[in-house]
Order: sequence, then structure tokens, then C-alpha cells
Amino acid sequence: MKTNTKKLTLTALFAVVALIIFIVEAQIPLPVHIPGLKLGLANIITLFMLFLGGFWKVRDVLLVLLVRILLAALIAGNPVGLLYSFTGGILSLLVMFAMKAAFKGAAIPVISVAGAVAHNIGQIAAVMLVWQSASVLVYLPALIAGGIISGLLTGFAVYFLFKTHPKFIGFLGGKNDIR
Amino acid sequence: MKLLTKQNIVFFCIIAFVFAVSVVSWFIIRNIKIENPVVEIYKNGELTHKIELTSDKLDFTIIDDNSNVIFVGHKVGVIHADCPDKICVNTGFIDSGVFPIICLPNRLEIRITDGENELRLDAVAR
Amino acid sequence: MKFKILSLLLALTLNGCGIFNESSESPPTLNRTDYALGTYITVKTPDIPVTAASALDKAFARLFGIEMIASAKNPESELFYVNENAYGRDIIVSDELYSLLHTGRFYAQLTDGAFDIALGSIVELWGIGTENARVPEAYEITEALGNSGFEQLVLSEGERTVRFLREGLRIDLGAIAKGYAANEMKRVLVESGVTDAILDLGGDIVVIGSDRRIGIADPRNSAEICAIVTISDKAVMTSGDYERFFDENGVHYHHIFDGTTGFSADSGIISATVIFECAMISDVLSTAFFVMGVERAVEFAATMPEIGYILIDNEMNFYYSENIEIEIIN
Repeated sequence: MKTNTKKLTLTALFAVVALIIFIVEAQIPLPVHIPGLKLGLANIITLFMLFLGGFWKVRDVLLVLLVRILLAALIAGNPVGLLYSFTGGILSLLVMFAMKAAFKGAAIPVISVAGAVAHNIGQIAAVMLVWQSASVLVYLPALIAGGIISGLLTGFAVYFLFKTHPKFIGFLGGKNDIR
Repeated sequence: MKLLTKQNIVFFCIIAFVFAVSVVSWFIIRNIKIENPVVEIYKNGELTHKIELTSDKLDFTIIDDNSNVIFVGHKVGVIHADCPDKICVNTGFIDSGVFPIICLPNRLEIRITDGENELRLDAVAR
Repeated sequence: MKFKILSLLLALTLNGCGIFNESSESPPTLNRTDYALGTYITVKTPDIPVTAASALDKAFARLFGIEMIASAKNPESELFYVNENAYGRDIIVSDELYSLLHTGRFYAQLTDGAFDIALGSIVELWGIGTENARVPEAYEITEALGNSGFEQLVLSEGERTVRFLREGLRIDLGAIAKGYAANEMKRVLVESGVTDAILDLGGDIVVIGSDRRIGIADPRNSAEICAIVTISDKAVMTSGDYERFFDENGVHYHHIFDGTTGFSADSGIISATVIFECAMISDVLSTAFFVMGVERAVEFAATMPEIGYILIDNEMNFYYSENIEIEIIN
């Protein structure tokens, strides 16, 4: 298989898997109800792609992220939430990319936590901007704590995926230089 | 490949610290009580209703296109909404806390404010 | 807003009958709300129930009496008849209507037409507050202006007659009748022994009793208040551009007209409040000040030092007299 075709196919596949994770996650009830708080398991794909290396670049991650957010909003029937998801998602990717570049030795779960917290802060900032209201700020601590928990969850999931399936990583065109 | 390098241990400590601070402040914020509670209902950023929670009789429902807001006793809550996530409904009833009821998809916000100034008013000239 | 909701609820449920609101914290109060002179009128009194109940009946009876005389919209009112028939002939009117017209014309002269009872044709033309609100054509405004102005009104003291010099002249006592009704209701209540009450005539407030805190609606967000005044036995009358209006092509058209232009008054003032013992004078002057603009209004008020005022311009600057106890809220 040619690299381009393979990459294209895999990109689509990543997007679909991310979407499936998103749909499944929506069925999992959370013990607390906080606006904007989610498990964020779909972030597994973003994180995974970011660490694949090889021919996978940040723009591929961004593409999958955008496709997933767009389709998720359509499926959930919530176009208003699109803006908040975009802000959160892009800020999260930016922070994870920057952390990865700045701290060569930082473990996947650490970067994942930073990304998840950034995602939640980005969302709440978007809400504050659009609503012109600071009252949602009281949810910030809950969103940070929630981000840390979900960041650890997704982070360790990806970490163990890399650790236990080196051949699979190679098959996906990754470099397998796991930290 | 090593998870527990010196750098990562520092990172994990920072994470644990931030987590602890967040949880503690969460509980502190949760226990803040607002005096003279007045309910403000914002729809699409505009104040649509402002109602004292200390008023004598407050059993009524406000219905808009997307959601039903109900006042029962001295509490306010959303009992029905057409949004996908139902966070607003699941938040339950609020009375004097600082946590607003938020519906992101329908852009509904119900918050409690301190109505001290207004409660002490006898009338409003307009 | 809260007060609107409350008064609406009251109006819907208790229209025409008094009830006692028992609450554990505040003493029982007697409320009555009714619709007259184009607005909801509420009287609240914590006074002795028996006295207060009959006093309220008398006060509202007085109110409806004034409505039947001075309402320009009620087709059964005396003013309506005058408006339809007074062109070119002398109409004998009741003492009460005569004195309202006379007082109205006196203040129209005193304020150089900033307050004018003879702008009815302009009010009707714009239809603000009705379904027919629209921006008229220029020629219509010119025509209505020709049919306006207190100079076209002839009053004859001896026979108590009214005559219009122009066929299209229409008297609108909207900016004085509420104040007059407030005075009368207050007088009836006080004569009946009420010593503690708040009269709310669609946002115009009259206080019987001392040290009452009255909020002033924020003209740019009328659900909120922007100031609090503390008053005793006085009226607080506010004229604002936010009560009855419509917006078209980015222009804000409201219900207070400038008799020199035929358009909504655009003096820079967006809220004018007058605080004085006499509700009628407060009512008249709040409208006049709104039309005059800050500079003229302050100058005018200097000639009547016992008048208290609060003027708010379109940049939310406050101008107020020194004789009032005011707290401005940001």
C-alpha cells in the first residue's frame, strides 16, 4: 500500500474511532453534573496520534480533531456547542504540542493532563466570552479537577497502548519512540 | 520509556497539588451562601426574569421555547429541557449557592444574586 | 422587572379586590391593583386593615372618576368628547377638567412648551405604544405640528368653556393626569386616616409615610435600578425613553414628544425624575425636563429651589439637586 493511501485511510479510521468513543462516552453517566465536564475519552485519539511520530504530523491530528468535533456536534444535535468544543479542543492540542516540544522527557499522562485541563479552561473561557458573564467561573475548580482525572485516564490508556503494542505502532507508521 | 523520571515525578507532584487546590476550593465555593437571594434568569444573555426567593408564595413555572423553569417553595430549578445533555435539569434545585444553573446549548443561565439593595426598596420609579 | 411581574400577577389574580398578604417576616399589607389611565396602578399599605380597605375603595373610585374625565383614549371620557367637538365652538366642561386644562396650559407657558398638553395629534400620528406605531411621512408631521400647541387652546374662566382654534388639535393630558390622580388618591387616603402607603402608578411613585427607599430604574436596563432615593411624603415621578418606544433603522423612537420638532424629544436626557410634594407638578416637570435637556432643566429648576430632580443623560452622567438624599449604584 502506498504511504499516502494508507495515511488517508488511517486518518479516516482515527476520526471514526474518535467519534465512536465520543458516542459511547455520552452513554456513561457521570456522578456529578457540571456544565462542560466530560470524561473526554475521545482525547485518546488526539493524544495517541500526537505521539505516533513517523509520518504523522500535527496537522493530521488537527484534521482528525476538527472532523470529530464537527461530526459529534451534528450527531448530538448541538450546533451551539460547536464553538465551545472547538475552542477547548484547539487549545488542548496547542498545549499538548507545546508541552511535548518543550519537555522532551515529559510522560504521556503528564501531557495528557495538561491537555485535558487546557480543554476545560478553553471551553469555560469561550462561554465567558460569548455570554459576557463571569458567573460560570465558579465551576473552574471542578473543571480543573475533572480535567486532571480524565487526563490521567486517557494518558495512561495511551501510555499502555504504546508500551504493550509496539508492533501495532509500527504498522500505523509510528516511530515508537515512546517516553 | 521510563515513567518515573525525576522530571515526571515533579510533574506528577504539581498535578497532585493543583488537584488538591481545586478540590478544596470546590468545597469552599460550594459552601458560600448568598444573603437575600434573588433569582436572575438570563436567556441568550438577556435578563428575562428577576424574582426574590424570599417572597411569600413562589410556586409557579416559567415556560420558554426550550425549557421549563420552576419555582417551588424557596428554590428554583429546571424540570424539563430540550437540550441534549440535560445538565441544567440534573443540576437540580438551587436556593442560595453561588453555582448557577447553566444550559450551554439553550444559552440559559439561572443565577442567585444578593438582592440586598432591592429588598430594602419600597418601590421603583420608572 | 420583578415589580412588573408582581404587579402583573397581582393584577391578574386580584383585579378589583383587596387581599391580605400574611407573611412571617413582614407585617400584613393590603394591596390593590387596578388598570386605569393606561397603566397598572397599585396601592400598598400596611395600615390598619379596616380603615385601609375602605380608604382604598374610595381612592380607586376617585381614580376611575378622573379616568372618565381626563383620559384621551377612553371614548366615554369627557376629554374625548371635548377633543371631538371643541373646534370652533365653546364647550362647557366640568370644574375638574377645566382646572386640569388650565393648570396644563399654565405649565406649558411656564416651560415654553417643553411640557405641552396640546400635542395629541402628534401622539396619535406616531401611535407609540399601540399596534400602529410607525415613523410618519414628513408632510404628516408638518400637518400634525400645525394642529398642535397650547396657543391653539382657548379657555374662558367665567363660563368654564374650552375652544380649539384648529380642527385637528387634540389634548393629551398623559403627562399631568397621572400626577393629578396620584394627588387625589393620596388626599383621599390621608383623609381616611391612612398614614403609611406606597402608590405606584405605573412606575410613578407617591409615598405616604417617612424614610421610604425608592429605586430609580436604570434607563439602559430597566430591570435594574441605578439609584436609590430616600423620601418622606413625596412623589417620585420619572420620565424615560425606555417605557414606550419602538426602534427602526437604528433610531430609538419613544413616547415623549418635542412640540417644536414633532419627533421624540432628543435632548440628551434619557431619564428625568422629579421629587416634590405635589405629584402633579412632579409629573409635569419630569416630562418638561426630559424635553428641555440638562442645561435648560437645571436652569429652570434653579427658579424652584424646593424641587428635587435627577437627570441622567445618554452617557449615564447623573445631574441631581442637592436637596435630595440619593445613593447612586453602579
